[in-house]
Amino acid sequence: MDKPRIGAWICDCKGQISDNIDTQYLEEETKKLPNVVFVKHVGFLCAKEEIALLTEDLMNADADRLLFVGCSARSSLRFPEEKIVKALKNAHIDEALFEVANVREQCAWIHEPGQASTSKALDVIKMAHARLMLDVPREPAVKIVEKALVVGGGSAGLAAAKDLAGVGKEVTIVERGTYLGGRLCQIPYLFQTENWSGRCVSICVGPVQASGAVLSPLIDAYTQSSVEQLDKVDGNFRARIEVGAPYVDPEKCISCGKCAEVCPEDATSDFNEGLFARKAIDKDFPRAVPDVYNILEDFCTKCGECVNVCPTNAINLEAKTQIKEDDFGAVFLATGFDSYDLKQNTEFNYRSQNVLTGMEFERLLDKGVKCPSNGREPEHIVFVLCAGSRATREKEGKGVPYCSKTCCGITMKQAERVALTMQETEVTIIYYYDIRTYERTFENLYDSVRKMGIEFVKGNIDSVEENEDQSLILNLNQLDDQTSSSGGQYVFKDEALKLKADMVVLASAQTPKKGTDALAKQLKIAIDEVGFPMENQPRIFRPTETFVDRVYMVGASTGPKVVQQAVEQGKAAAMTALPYLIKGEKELPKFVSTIDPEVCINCRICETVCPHGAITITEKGVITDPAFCQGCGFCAAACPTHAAKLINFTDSQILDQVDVAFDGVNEGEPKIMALLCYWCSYCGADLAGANGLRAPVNYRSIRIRCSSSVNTALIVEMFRRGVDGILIGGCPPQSCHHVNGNYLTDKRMELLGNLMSQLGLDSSRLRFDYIGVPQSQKFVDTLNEMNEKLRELGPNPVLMLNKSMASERGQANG
Amino acid sequence: MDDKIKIAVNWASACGGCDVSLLDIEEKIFDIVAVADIVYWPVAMDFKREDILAMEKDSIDIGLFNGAVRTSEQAEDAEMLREKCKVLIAYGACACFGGIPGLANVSDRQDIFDVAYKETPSTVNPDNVTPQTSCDVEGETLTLPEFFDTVMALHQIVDVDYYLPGCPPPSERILDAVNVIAGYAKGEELPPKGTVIASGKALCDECERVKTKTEERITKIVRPHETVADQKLCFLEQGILCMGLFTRGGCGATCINANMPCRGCFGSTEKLLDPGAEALSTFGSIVGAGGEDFVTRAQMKSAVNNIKDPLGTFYRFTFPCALINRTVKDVGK
Repeated sequence: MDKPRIGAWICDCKGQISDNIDTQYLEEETKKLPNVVFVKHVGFLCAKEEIALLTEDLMNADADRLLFVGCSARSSLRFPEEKIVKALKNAHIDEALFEVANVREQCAWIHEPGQASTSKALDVIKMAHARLMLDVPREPAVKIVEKALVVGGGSAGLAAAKDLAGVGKEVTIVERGTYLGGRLCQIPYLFQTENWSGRCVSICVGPVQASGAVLSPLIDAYTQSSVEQLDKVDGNFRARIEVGAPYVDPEKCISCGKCAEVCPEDATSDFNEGLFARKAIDKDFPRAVPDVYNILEDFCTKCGECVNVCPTNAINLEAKTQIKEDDFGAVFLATGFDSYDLKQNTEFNYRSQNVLTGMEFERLLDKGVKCPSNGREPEHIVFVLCAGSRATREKEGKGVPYCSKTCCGITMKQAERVALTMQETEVTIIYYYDIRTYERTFENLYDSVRKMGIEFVKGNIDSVEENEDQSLILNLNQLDDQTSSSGGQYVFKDEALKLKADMVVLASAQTPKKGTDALAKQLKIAIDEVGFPMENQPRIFRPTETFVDRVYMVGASTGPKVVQQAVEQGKAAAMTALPYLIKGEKELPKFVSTIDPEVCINCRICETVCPHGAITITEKGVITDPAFCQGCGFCAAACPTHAAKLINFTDSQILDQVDVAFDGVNEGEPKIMALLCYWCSYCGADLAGANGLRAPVNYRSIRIRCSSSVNTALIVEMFRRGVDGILIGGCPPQSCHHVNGNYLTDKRMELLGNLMSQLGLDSSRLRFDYIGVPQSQKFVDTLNEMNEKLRELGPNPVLMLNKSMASERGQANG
Repeated sequence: MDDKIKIAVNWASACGGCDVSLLDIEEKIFDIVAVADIVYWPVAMDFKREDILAMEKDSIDIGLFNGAVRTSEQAEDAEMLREKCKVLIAYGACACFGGIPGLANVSDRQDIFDVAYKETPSTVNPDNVTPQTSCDVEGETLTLPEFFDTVMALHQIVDVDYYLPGCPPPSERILDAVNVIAGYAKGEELPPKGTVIASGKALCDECERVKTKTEERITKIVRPHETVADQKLCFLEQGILCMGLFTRGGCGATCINANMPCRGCFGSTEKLLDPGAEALSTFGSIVGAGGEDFVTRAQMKSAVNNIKDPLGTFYRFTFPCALINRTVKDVGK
C-alpha cells in the first residue's frame, strides 16, 4: 500500500474550541505529524461554503484520508459522522478513511481552559492520527438478491409481500397450511382497529388480502409447504423449500367440489380448530385462497374416488413433494402464534368437550354456538381470562409469564356477540388479576359488556368438573376480599364458589409458533427467555428488525398482536427491507470482522459470541459473512488464536493510541484510559462536556466498538505499557446494541479483577461500569474517584517490573 | 571423531524430567551419539563446569538448556553456554517460559525465605538464619549464588536460538531437534532463529475432539476432578476448561489422549499477547448460560467466579513470560 496522505481539518467552532485551547498550536503540531500533507484551520466548518472549499482542498492536496479535529463524531448535532462521510464521498475518498479527534466535547468543554487542555488536545489528535495511519478502505459492496422470502402467509406476511410486489420486487411466500390469510380467516368478526373500532368480516377481507397476493405475477405463493433450511450464503439467504405435492393441478381445478363430495375420508381441519371435520380432499372453507381443492396427506388413502369424478382431470395422486432451492436478499418470518397447550393446566379440564379455547369459540361464532357434546345452545357460558397468560408469582410454571394482550378484548367481543345474538344464554366472565381492556376499542367493549349486565367474577379456578351430562361445574377460590361478582349475582361462601355452566371458554395464552425456533436457530436470531425474537437496538426505532441483518420478524411471531398491528408490522418491515432490494447491493461498513484460516482452529467460539449471526462454520472452516457483520468485535476479543480480527479496529490501532495518549500528561499525574462503548458511554462522556461537568484533564478516551470489543490481554498490555488506571464503559443493562456485550465485559473484567488481585495490583486500577448516555454525571464521578485513588496509589508498579528484572539480569551479567 | 558436532546439556531450575526425556527417546539416542559428542551433561556424564569454561567461544555446536533461571549461578550457566555454543536451544517449558518453577513469581525472595527458613512447622531456626550470598566463617569466605526475586525464562537472560517446549518435550519433537542437529552436522542450513520446534497452530487444530465442539456456551464450569470426562467429546463441551485453544500443538495431544484437558506446557501460539489474559477474554465470553437480562448482576458473575485461581490455571507454565510476569506490591508511594 502507498504511504498514507493525510489531510487535516481543524475547526475552532467559532471560539467554542479555540477559546479554551490553543488551536494555533495544534495546527503547528499537527503539521509535524508523519504523513500529514496539509492542514486547514477554519473558524466554523459547519458553514456550507467552508465544507465545499475544504473538500476541494482535500482533492487538490491528493489526500487519501482525513483527520478531523473538532467536535465529537458521536454526539455533534451539527457535524456528525454522516456529514464527514458525505464530504469524503465528494472528495472521492473511501468513507472508512477518516478519524475524528474530539477536542470539543471531551476536551475544550470538559476541562478547564489552559495549557493542560491544549496538551490533552494534542494527545487526542495524535491518537486519532495513530488510528488513521492504519485504517484501510472498505471491501467492495456485496450483491443483494432483489427477492424476498416470506415465511407464513398470514396477515403480516401478506402485507409485507404485497407491498414489496407493489414496488416491483419478487416475493416467495411459503405457508404451512392449506390456505393464505392465516388466523384472521378463522375469526368471523374482527376488530378493525384498537382505536375507534368497527367490525370487519373475515370471510370478506381474508380472501381479498390473499387473492391479491396470489394474483400478483411477482408473488410465488406455496401452500402446504415449509422452509426446511435457511443458510446465509455470500450476503444473502439460501432457502431450501419443501413444496407440498401438487396433487391438484391449480391450472385445471375449477373448484367445483365434486371430489370432496365423493371423498370417503373425514379429516381434521386446522381452520376449524379440529371442531368440524373436512374431507381428505377439500377446501377448509369455501372462499379459501388459493381457490383449489387440496389433499391432506395424513388422511388420504389414495382410493382414487376423487380422480374418477374430477371433470377436469386435475388430480394426480402420484404427485411428489418437491425441493426448491432459491436465494433471497431478505427474509420475513411471519409464522404467527400457537395457543398455549391448556392440557398442561389440569384445573381447566380442557379435555372435556365443552371446555374450549378462545380460538375454538371463534369457530363456533361462525358455525353456530352449540355445545360440542350435545349440539344444544348453551344456557350459561363462562369465559375465563388469563388461561395460561401472566403465569407469574404463585402461577409460575402454569403458562407464559407475559400478558397475551388481546385476550381481554377478544373475550369482551365474544361475550358481547353472545349477548347481542343469543337471548337465552347467560354470560359470566372470570378474571384472576384484573381486566386489561386497554385503549379505546377494548375499553369501550368492556364498558358495553358491563352495561349489558354481564357478571364479572374475580376468582381463581380450582377445578372444572364435568357432570354426567357433560355440563360443567367450576370451583372457584376467592381472591383478596372480593366476595361477590360485579352485579352481586354470585357470592363466595367460605371463600369458595361453585358455578354451573354448559360451556367454558378459556382465553388461552398465545405462545411462539412451534417450528419457528428451528429457523431462528439456523439464522442465529437472538431469542428472548420465552422464545420470541429480540429486536435490534435501539428497538424503539427498529421495530421488526432482528439482530440479524435483513431478517424481519413480523406479526404475532414476535408476540401477541391484533390483526391491524400485524399488518402494520408487515408493511413496516417491507419498507425497511426495500432500500437493499431496490439497490441490489449492500455497502460494507468500516468495521468488519475477518477470520484468518491459517490461524483458525475451528473452535467456533466466535460463532458462539457473534450476536448478529454473521459467523458460521462451513466446510471451508469458520467464516464471517461481512454483509451480516455489524462490527461489534466480539469475535476478535474472544478468539483464542487471534484468527478473528476487526478491520479498522485492530489491536495495533488500539495500542498505538495508548503509546501516544499520555505524552501531554505531567509526570506524577495518573494516566487514566477510558475505553468507552461506541453508542452509550462515549456519548455519555461527550454530554458531560456539553453539560459543563468537569473531568480530570489526565484522562484519555478511546471510542471502542462495544465495551466487549477489546481483548482482555490488551487491557493487561495497557497496564504493562504504564497506564495507571482503566475505565471501561458499556451500555446500561438491557440496552446493549449487540445483545450482551456489556455483560460479557462485566464478566471478563470480574475475571481480570480476580487475576489482578492475584498479581497484587490494586483493584481500583480497573473499573467497568454501565454508563448510559444520560449518565454523564456518573462518568465524571467515576473518573474523579479513580483519579483520587490513583494519586494515593502512585504510579502503576508494573512499569517498575522490567526495571527490576533488568537489574537482576545486570547483576547476573556481572 | 573430529567431524562430529559437540553438544552440551545443562540443567537449571527444573525437576529433571527434561534430562530424563532425552533418555526417553530410547535407541534414537544413538543417532545423536553417531553424529555428536556430548561434551557436558551434569546429570549423566562426568564433565565439570571448569571443562566448559576452559573451552573456546563457539566451540560447542549445540547447547540444550533445560530449566528456568532462579539463581545467579543458573544465570551464569546460561551466559556460559551462550558463549560456548553456536546454537542455544531452550529445552522444555521451564527454559522456554519459566514453567512450573515460574509460578514462584507469585511471591518473592523474602516471602520464600520466610516460609522455607522460618515459618514451616518443621523448621528450627532460632537465629533466623537465611541464605546469604557470602558469609565469613573462621576467616574464610563462603559464597552461595544469589537467589533472584524473580524466576526467568532463558531468553530473558541470554539470546536463544530455538525453543523446544513441553513438560517435558515429547520424543517426537526431540527427534525433530535431533534431525536438525544431524542435518547441521552434515552441513545443512539451520532453521530461522527463534523457531519454536512445535506446531504453528493451536493444539485444537490437531485434536480430534474439536470436531465435537458446538457453538453452545459453557453453562457451568466443571473441574477435572469433579467428573469423569467423556473420552470423545471436546472438554469445553463438558464445561472443563482446556488450554488447547491457546497452546501450541505438536505435543501429540498426550494429555487429551489420557482424558485430561491441556494445561498449556507448549506455551501460547504466536499471535497471542499473553497466555492468561487471552484465556480470560475467551472464557469470560463464553461462560454463563446467557439470559443476563433476567438475572442479577451477582448471579451473572457467579458463572465466571467459578473459575478458581485464574493465575495458576492459565499461566501454569508461562507466568514468567506473561505481560505482567510476577506479583507486584501496589501499596502507594
